[in-house]
Amino acid sequence: MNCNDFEARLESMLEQPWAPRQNANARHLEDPELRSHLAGCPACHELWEANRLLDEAVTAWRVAPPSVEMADRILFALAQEPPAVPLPKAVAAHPVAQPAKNSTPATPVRRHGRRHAAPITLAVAMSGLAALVLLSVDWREPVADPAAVANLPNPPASVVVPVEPPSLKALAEPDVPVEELVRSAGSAYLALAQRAANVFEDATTGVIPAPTIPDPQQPLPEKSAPAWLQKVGDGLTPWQNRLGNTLDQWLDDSPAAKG
Amino acid sequence: MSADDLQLVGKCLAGDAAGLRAFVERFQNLVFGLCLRMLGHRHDAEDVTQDVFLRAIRSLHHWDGERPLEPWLLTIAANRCRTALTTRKRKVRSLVAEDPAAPQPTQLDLGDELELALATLRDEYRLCFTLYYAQELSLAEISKIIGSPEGTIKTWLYRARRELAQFLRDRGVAPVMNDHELQ
Repeated sequence: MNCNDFEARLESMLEQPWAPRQNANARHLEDPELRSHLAGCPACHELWEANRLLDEAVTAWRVAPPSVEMADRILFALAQEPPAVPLPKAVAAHPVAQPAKNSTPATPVRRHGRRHAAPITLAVAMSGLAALVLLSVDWREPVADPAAVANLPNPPASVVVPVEPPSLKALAEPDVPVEELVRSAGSAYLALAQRAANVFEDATTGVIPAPTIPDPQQPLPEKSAPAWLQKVGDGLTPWQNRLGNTLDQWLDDSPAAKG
Repeated sequence: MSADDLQLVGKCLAGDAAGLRAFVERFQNLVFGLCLRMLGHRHDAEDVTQDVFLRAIRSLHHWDGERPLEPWLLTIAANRCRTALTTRKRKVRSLVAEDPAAPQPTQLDLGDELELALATLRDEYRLCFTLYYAQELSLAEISKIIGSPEGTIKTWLYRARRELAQFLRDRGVAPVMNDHELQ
């Protein structure tokens, strides 16, 4: 037996529960191999003595019992707490469970978060999905071919043609007018916003599918997903117009335009 | 699970006040013993014991009747002790920093020396040690209560023993009897 074997022996003694092991030291010392190693190895002998000391300390280790009124205290506290589940009848009927005459009832804490957990989770999931799609899309790709849009049976009033935003290098060119750069950048960012709106709409429609394909000749049902999306779009239109007007006004008022 | 325990739980679930009292009295030493050894403070241990029983009684209808009751209670107690220790550490950290060399008692018996040594252990080591020696549980049972693999429990227990033994030696505590068998 070497020192590693000895340590392994000590560790393996822990595999038995404590109670049956209380006399294990004496039993182990019956092993001649262990005895001879301990006799010849001061380090392991010291370790063995330390373990013996610890075993003695554990044997002397006592804990005073809890106070005698522990049960009363627990039953009292059980009766006083607002019950998360109905209290056992006998506890509820116990005199200590009755509130004092001058006591005021505790105000229950309302957990708003839990009530709206499902819609919040859905909203977060949809936003995350839209963000992921946006990140994976090459924004320089055209939103739609203007010629193809013009051939649609019900073409939109205006089509935003995506333009690649100007690079910093282009801004440094002295021959590019600043209003040209701003107009170009504005168009590109509007196209990006439109793409984001489209992606969001697709993601939302994927999560909340319309029960039926709506008839273009009939008004949309009030509570259908397409009607809801149309309302969102209608709500955004004034903002889009306002942004466009502000941009145009700024460009018209710029020194370059006046010059 | 003994028939007596099943009957006791049945009474508690039926709302029998005597049953509830018997339930608390039956297991209070078990729970309080663990709490006191973990927290090292009688008042705190009583508070946590009360909390453990409140939770246990309110959750009795979730308890699986096929499984023994003691490990279930000890699991609740272990979790509450860990929470209490975490809270306490946050509260007393500044106080300890102010007085790192608090006077320690010098004339103690072996059990008190062990109590003193236990306070120096990491929480998980102390929990393993207490469950093994005070509650006399096997490594498998401790593993289920703490929720860590058996091998980890064994390692923690071994390290706890080693650190405690070192602490006792550093304190100059000697074994009561010499090992004559080795001579």
